[in-house]
Amino acid sequence: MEVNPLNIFFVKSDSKGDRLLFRYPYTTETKNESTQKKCGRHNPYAINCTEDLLQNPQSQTSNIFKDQLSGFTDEMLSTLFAVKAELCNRKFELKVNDVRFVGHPTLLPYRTNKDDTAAMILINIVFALRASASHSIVKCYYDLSKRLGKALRHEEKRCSYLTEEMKIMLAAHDEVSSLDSEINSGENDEEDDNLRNSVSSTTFNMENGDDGPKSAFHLILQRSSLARSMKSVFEQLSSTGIVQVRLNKLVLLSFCLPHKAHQIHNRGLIIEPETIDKCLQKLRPYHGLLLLVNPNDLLGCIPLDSSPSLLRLIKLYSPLKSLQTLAIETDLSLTQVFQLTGHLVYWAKATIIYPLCEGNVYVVAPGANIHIHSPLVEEFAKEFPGLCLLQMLSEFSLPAPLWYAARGAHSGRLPRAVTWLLRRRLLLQLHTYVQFNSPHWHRAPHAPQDGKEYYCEKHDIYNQSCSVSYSSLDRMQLHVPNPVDHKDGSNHFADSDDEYPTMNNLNQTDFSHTKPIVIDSDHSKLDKFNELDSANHSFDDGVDVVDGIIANGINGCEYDDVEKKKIQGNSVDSGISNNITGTTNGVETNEINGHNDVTNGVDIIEDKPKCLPTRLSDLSLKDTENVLNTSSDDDRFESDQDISPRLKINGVKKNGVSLNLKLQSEMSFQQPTVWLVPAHCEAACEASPQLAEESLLHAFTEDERAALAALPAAILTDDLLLLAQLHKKGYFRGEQHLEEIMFMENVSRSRLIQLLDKFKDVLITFETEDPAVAMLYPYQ
Amino acid sequence: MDLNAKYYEGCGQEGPIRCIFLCEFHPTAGPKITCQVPDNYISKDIFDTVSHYIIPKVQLQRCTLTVTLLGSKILGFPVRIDNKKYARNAFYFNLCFVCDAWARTVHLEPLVKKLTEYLLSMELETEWLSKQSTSGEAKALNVLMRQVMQDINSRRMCTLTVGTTTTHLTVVRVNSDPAPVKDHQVPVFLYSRHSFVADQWDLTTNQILPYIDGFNHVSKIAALTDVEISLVRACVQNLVYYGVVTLVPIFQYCAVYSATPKLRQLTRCPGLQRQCVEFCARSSRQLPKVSDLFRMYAGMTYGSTVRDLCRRMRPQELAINERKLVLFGVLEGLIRRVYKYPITLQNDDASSTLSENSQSPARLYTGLVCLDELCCQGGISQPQLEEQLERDSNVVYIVK
Repeated sequence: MEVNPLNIFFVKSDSKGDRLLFRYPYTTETKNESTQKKCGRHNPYAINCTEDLLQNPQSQTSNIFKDQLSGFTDEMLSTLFAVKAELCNRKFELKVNDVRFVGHPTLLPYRTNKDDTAAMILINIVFALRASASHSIVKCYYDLSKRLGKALRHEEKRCSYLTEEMKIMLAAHDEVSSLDSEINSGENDEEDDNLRNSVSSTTFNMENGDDGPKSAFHLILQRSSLARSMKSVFEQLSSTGIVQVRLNKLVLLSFCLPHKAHQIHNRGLIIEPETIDKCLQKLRPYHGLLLLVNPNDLLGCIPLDSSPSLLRLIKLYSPLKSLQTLAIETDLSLTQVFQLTGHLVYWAKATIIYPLCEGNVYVVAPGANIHIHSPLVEEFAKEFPGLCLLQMLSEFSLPAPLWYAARGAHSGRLPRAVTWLLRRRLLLQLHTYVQFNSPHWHRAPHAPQDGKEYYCEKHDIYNQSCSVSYSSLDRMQLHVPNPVDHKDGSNHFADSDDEYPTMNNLNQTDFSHTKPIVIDSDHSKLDKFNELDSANHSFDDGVDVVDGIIANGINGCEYDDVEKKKIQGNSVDSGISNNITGTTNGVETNEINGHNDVTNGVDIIEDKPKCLPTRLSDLSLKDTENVLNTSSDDDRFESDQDISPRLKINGVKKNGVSLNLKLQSEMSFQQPTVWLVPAHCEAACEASPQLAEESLLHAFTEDERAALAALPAAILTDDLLLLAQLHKKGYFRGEQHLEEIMFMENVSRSRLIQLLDKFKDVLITFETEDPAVAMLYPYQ
Repeated sequence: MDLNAKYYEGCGQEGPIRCIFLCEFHPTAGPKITCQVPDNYISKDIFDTVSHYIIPKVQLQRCTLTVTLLGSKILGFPVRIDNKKYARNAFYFNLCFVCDAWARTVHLEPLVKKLTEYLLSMELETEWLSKQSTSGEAKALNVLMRQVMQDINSRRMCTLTVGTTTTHLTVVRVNSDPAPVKDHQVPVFLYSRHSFVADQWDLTTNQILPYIDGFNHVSKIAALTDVEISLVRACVQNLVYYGVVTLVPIFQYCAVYSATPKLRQLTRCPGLQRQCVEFCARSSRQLPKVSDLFRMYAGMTYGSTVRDLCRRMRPQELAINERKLVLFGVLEGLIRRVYKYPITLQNDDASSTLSENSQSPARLYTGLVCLDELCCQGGISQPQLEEQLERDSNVVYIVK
């Protein structure tokens, strides 16, 4: 277990020199001589040749003996940890053989006995780890050491807590050493050095029996609250990985070592904070939360001063709800819900799933422990009497939707059983992805030809940074700054989400500055164009569809309404309020213009260093290009073409707009990873089918159209249109699963499956797991 | 900026040696750098702050010490020679390598140790080192250190000759031990066999090398080469450690594979597509289409065996070699094998039936061994085994 700490040390260094004040655990077993000889690997048959005699004695290669630190004396450690002043307040990392010491030396003013002169003292709380521990583990321990140092500095400043505690510790050390010297002086005259060494180690009191003096550290542990705090830090780290300690009964120190904490629920599962970050980057509104602990227990263990939004989230939590639903129900912004989710995942209280619903297809996870004697079998039997874990898992051996599995006798308990299995990461959900089988497979001409590299590194990064990459491919040909455009939907959403009344202070203060202007411009936009925002259209309906079967469709609507009212009341422009004010007959051009300032805003947000004029000239160039080939590409249609007309028309307003944008950019401090998909197709389709049909078909290349024309299904314009729209949005590039398409585009599952069936000659489907969810699995 | 993004602390990559210095405990001046390559990489100030980690107390002598501070990592192996002839009855020295703080340095530790041992033996024999340091300039030492740094950074190996003694230094990658090799696993080369220098390896390895073709499993290789199977396992494990081969599941028409999220990369990475097309072709004259390859991979899912897939898609007509297709997919992580595990459910009556028909060894399946392994152990084909298992009503399958 390389995650566990080997030892914790507390070292001070001041004008009186350095001293190891406390360490835990302090009972070190003395290494037997015999074992040490064994380590040297001496072959009894080997001849001691002269060369060997010349060779130097075997050096010590390990400092770990029976999971405990060995071979270091306290004095040695204290000199090592008492660093020079130049190295203070930064990371201290020292590796000796197979032990790594990590700490954060903290320099703090310290009240000496003479009251007035505030001398500086250095304290260093050092953790000893196995050298094989990964860097991210070391980083976490470093962080903990730093926090302990900060807490102590605070307490020292407030009530000289540290001074008092150190006095106790030093007194204990002195007491024991004086006792010790008394005892020893009677017996034999040992060397002073040896004496000092043996003082703090415990071995000697075994000789003296129980009634003899205890070791200094034992005394300290009895007398000093700081020592007890450190002990509990060590013990909590070794047991759960979650530290909750109150220093001096006041400063609460909460710390989580995710590598360890996730093992409480899943043995052998090591989740690094970096993995969690990556997972959060990929989080989408349709993902759901699955608590690993009982919500009531969780509410109980949350500190009193925690965020009320977290409590609300936990109270309203259900594995059937998507994050989007949760956001609406808890009246939080999506970003906040994402952040809270990240928090819960980090603290091993939750994991990420796709919300439970009857259409979900589960299989046994590749890393699942299916040993017949595994403790999980017992646990499962206890939780669900009469059911057998292995039997249950064998039923998931062939992928089938949940409703199919639920037709059995124990259907009533199935949802609960499935959540149980998901919590243990025994089940993994499969999603269906769709790939358009274009005759031209080399449709990414911009890609570098050295494929391997592209595939390994760039591709990965590319995927992470903007996981919706489809339409950007075409745009790259046009040399349009690529990461910008397709995020229009996202930023629009994020912004509008932030305009919700929230608990976030920072947000609110920010907002109060910007409010008048934003609303003004947005209103004018609404009045003028009577915009329909289809993105938001799919937003509310998506909730119903996704949770449709099990979740409460009615509730969702209700909440939507509440939300709408609230927003109207606040007269904040948000996506949903658009939906109300906007009538459905929005002419396409209007709609496009409606989006104008958002897209533009995104541009500016992304390209801040670039000045506006150059961007504009850029755009007008593209505009002419677009006019030539009438809107063959949807995204250009939305993002580029429409910017310039608006700017031309509203030339006067330019300043106002840009001001607005600037403000928006200031507000958009949140992660721009949410809602990457522009979702306007439904509305566009309804608005003007004629126009749409023609332009949409341009999304396909010549060959693709020829292939399509050969299909009998292509006769039905409805289907063809839907296909074209989805294709244009890039849903057929194997990036998004059916559930995501349903959620984003507000298409029902049956319609989608029908479509896939009709066009199965040009569409390839494959089933695999959602990478964002699979990341948190113990997987290969 | 780009560099910072790639090389952060904990990125796990190896970096070059930035500096090598020799430091010693001067009888009057205390710890000091005798010789440094390149000059002044470690300044006097920095050295003073870290000197007590470089010339440490007695107990830490002959320990590999690595200290990370101020953006660099210093790697040393402090040594003390006790002898009356030295000024303080002892000669302390430490040869240190300096790397960037982000770099991984575990692989350099044996190197530092060996180089120190080399210097130590020269000092014991001819007082080479102490003469160098007292001479003031330490030219020979300087040349030696420069050579080590250059050669290790560029070629990862180095041969030093001073006078009549020679020593060889080489960087050996430190990997965690590979898992034990199972009989049913198939070793496959990770890079072209032509670039593989056969005479670096032992005789047994050389004997089995020709049979490592990505399709023969370990026990078959053992049979073909007439080598004891445990030796084959050991050889293959050794090759795995050095990253020459990797292990893939055995190809069977009754095997089930499942696409992974990585599969989508086949649709957009031209390099991968080209590799795939070339690898999976039946003959180099007629190359298969990427879309067909993708269709094949996409068809791999739970519940459909390779045989089903071949019946449906007819890879022969598409110029696809399905064995190679599967191999490529597994190697690139586009697909993964889905194993079938038989498991004996322990009912109360299970024990009684066990004792009754003792002549048919209804063995206990614990869920740790998959069908492949069982087949390989029993030397029977999968359908045969499945037929056997069919008779035992307590056995269920878990597919994962």
